[in-house]
Amino acid sequence: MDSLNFVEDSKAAVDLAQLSVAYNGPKLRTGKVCLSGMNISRTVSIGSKRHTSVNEMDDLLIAVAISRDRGAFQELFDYFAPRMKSFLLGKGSSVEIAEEAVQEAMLNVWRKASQFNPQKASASTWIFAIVRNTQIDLLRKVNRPEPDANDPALVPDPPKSAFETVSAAEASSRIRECVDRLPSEQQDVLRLAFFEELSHGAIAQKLNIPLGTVKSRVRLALQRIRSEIGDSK
Amino acid sequence: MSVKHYPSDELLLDYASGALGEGWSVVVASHLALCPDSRQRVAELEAIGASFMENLSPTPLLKSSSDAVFSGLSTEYLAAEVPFPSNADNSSFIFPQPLRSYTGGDLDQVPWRRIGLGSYQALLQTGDTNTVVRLLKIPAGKPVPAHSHGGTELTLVLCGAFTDKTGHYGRGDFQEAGDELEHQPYAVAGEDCICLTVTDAPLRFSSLAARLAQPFIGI
Repeated sequence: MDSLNFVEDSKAAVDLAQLSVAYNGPKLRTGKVCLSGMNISRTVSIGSKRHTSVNEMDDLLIAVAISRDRGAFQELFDYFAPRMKSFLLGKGSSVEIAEEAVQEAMLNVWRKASQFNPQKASASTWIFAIVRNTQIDLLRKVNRPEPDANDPALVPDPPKSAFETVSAAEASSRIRECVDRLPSEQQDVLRLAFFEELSHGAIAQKLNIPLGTVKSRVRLALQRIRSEIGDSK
Repeated sequence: MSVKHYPSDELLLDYASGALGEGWSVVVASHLALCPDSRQRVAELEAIGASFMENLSPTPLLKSSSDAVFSGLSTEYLAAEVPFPSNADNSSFIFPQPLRSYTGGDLDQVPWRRIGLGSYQALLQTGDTNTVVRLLKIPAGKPVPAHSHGGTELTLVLCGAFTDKTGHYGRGDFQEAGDELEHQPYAVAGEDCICLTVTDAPLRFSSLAARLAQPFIGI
């Protein structure tokens, strides 16, 4: 996404709109996405375990946002919807409920695509948040309080320095590799949190280990991941 | 102004996974609005969640589900995003979102109720019956009665500042108090301290007088 050259994180939504006006090249299509002269040939094979380029899912989602591109949406659907279903089944949903939640989540991806900001999150991270929120909304029927990116009271992100060249998609990809390499007991507490939506207190009960041990495993795992992506704070 | 006290990794993990209840989440999310560093932490945690989801082997969807999605795609373009407000507007609200959606307005519209010692509170209605979410106003230079916690208390400073034995807390700062912490917060002189708090159990006041008053002031 480097060639998009967003002026500022917080203006990305506006810049996306400008991009769609300024863009006079071939219409965005699936098969080959051209953004600002950058050609990316995509080689998504449906059902493959990993996609090949960290940015291609971002490009598909941007094509959905800018040109309501059904072909791009189809590719996102083919890759993410069956994984969403596995994720929801893993959390204990029935097949019927999982199918319903996946439908709603994918429709939310289509509806909310213009809110995607590739500087803040990779497409897969953004889509994960959509699934999580759809599930809270649809299945638990409770409100999820979240900050609003357009709120005037929101303290904006500091501008990125010229040396911070890691895109959200690259960071996301490094995080995934790092999670795969974590010691299994650290992976387990994170997996229980995301798959069973257990609070750290409930994880301690389930694994029959002290709460302090859960906390230290979470912290060690996150320290390792942050050092991997150069977040030293 | 910059935040010095952050939520713990475990609390942000619970927020990112969706496990955290609404009452706690109101305070965490209001902190996130004021703290880009914590937003970054949540984004990292969401990327971890995404990596678990992506690593799963796919389960094919029913054709009827795919059909329902593709026939539901509307073709209209989404309404243009509201233009991003200039930074000059940052001071126009004291309360960030999502807090304003619970209070229905900003600080000047809070229906304060006196709770003694010159302090005021206003309870917020959420869908979460396991927690009590409240705004607290502690007069400048004055203490909150010394207390410990039967459970957990999260506090976000919105205005002014308070100090206790664990440090100095200003706007955006976040305190997580477990049942081990007994503290006596003081509002820093010069400005009333406005905090957003959530608790899952009544506070335990150290002094008898404060304990006797507790049933009447609803704290």
